[in-house]
Amino acid sequence: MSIFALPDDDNEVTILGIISAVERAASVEFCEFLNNQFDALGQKEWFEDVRHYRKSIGDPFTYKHPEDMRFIINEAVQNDSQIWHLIPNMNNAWTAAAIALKARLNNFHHGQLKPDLQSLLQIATLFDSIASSSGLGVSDWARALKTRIKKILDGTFEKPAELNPPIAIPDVPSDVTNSYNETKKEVAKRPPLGSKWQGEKPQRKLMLDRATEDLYEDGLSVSSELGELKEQTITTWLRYFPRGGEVWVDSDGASMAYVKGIARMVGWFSPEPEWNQSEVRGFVVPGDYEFTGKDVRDLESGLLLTHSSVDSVREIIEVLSKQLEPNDRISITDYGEIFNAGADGVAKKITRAHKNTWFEGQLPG
Amino acid sequence: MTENLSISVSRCEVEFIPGTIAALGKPTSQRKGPAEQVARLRTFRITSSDELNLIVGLYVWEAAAPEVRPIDLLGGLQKHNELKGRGGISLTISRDGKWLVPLRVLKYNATKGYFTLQGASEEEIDSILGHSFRELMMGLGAIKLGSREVIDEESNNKRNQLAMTVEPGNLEAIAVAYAVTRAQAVILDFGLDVA
Repeated sequence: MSIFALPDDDNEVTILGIISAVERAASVEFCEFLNNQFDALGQKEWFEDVRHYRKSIGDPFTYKHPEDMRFIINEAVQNDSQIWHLIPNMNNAWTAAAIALKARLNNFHHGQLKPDLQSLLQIATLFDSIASSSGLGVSDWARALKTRIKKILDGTFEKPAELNPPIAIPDVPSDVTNSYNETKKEVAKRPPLGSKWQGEKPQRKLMLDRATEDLYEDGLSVSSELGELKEQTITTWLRYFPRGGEVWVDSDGASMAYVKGIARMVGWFSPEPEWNQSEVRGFVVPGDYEFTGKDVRDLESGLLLTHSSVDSVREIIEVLSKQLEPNDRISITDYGEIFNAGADGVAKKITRAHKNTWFEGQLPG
Repeated sequence: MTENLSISVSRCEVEFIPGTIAALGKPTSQRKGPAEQVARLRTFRITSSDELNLIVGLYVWEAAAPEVRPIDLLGGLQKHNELKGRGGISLTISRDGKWLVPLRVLKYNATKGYFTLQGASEEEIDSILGHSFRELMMGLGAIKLGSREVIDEESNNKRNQLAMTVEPGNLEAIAVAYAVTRAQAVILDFGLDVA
């Protein structure tokens, strides 16, 4: 593993490797820091003590060793935390950053964090927030990452001449790689609505007429093929392809159109395939959201969903109300699947939104 | 075989077809007149990420101002038909002997339900291009870009219209301006979001 690896571009293998390496470095440093603190208190078996305490009160505890950033964060932010008093400068900002970081790391370990520079920037910023107050060295790495990524994103970074020896790309755990490959395979097969179409242009060509809200093939209406799905299908297509025009339909019903010059997935000319209901599909949209009890708040902007969506979100709020408590955190994937992470870190799907029933501009299309 | 010169402009590729040919016809400004005249015709092709394949010509007439006209829509989507019948550019000769290129854009007209040529601000054209139109044009040899009043001291009802001046015969600048204000505008459904 190389120390202080920085990206030169948006290569996703490098990005995943760096996230993994920063997480490991931070875990080791935090753990060493806590070991020293507990040593001074004469509590050498502190991890076992925490485990016993959590189990004794019925909390789930799946962590196998203390060098796990998600364990450290999870324990630090509990109301009855066994370690918070040892972390210097612990305050609300630290806690908020730690909770957001834990969610990102969960997404990362489940192959749901989009492997791009924006995600890496977010992760680096959050690591910096929680590590700098404890004076940990990983915060230097996080700050260097932030500086480098901003330069790449604003186009001012110039790739240096080949280094000798070159900086090695950090390894990524195989289970994380497998999760990413699964997610990418799924997206490549049929991407989220509004996203770039993947693969060849299908053969069957239909015309979506915006004025008549109907579908034609060689001048004849074919919407009767959809039966009861007609209205829903046309509404969906027009949501992603408001001007209408040519739409190409693949053998499984997946449909593609050129939207502002780019081939995009606009819907299905068939019932949408049944996906595995328990699994959350796609990459997580970068953002932190809280269910207030009556609404959803974007924690970064402070905006409320009911004031920020194009269409009514009444049904979504109703479903959330039945399954969540006020102040619960939720996330959403680019497929519009809203979920929250249980105590075990596994994502639990709650309901589904589309680009007009979520914060404007945050879902594809 | 050498490849023709081409310039990428956002979603479009402008390919310059070598050679000048003679074309017989009527200038748009004299289309009701009886006489045809000869033009020196240079052509370029605009292709796009959404299958547009359009041949466009720069006509330099013997006895009329030069103009840009679409010649043949070889391929594309139904919406690209909007480029066939409208969107020509009539150039004029500026006071200093340069070619003055009016910069209007094809914009979706919600009332009519199709694209029409409309005046546009420099910011609107920047938004169609995705970056600075002025920088692009200056890089291709445009001399001045601004209102007709500012760049050519016009005081008529077109004085506020955005335009640029180029050296006579600067096909690259004219073709790219056409690609941005016509083809790219239609590809992006310019004006539809507002509608």
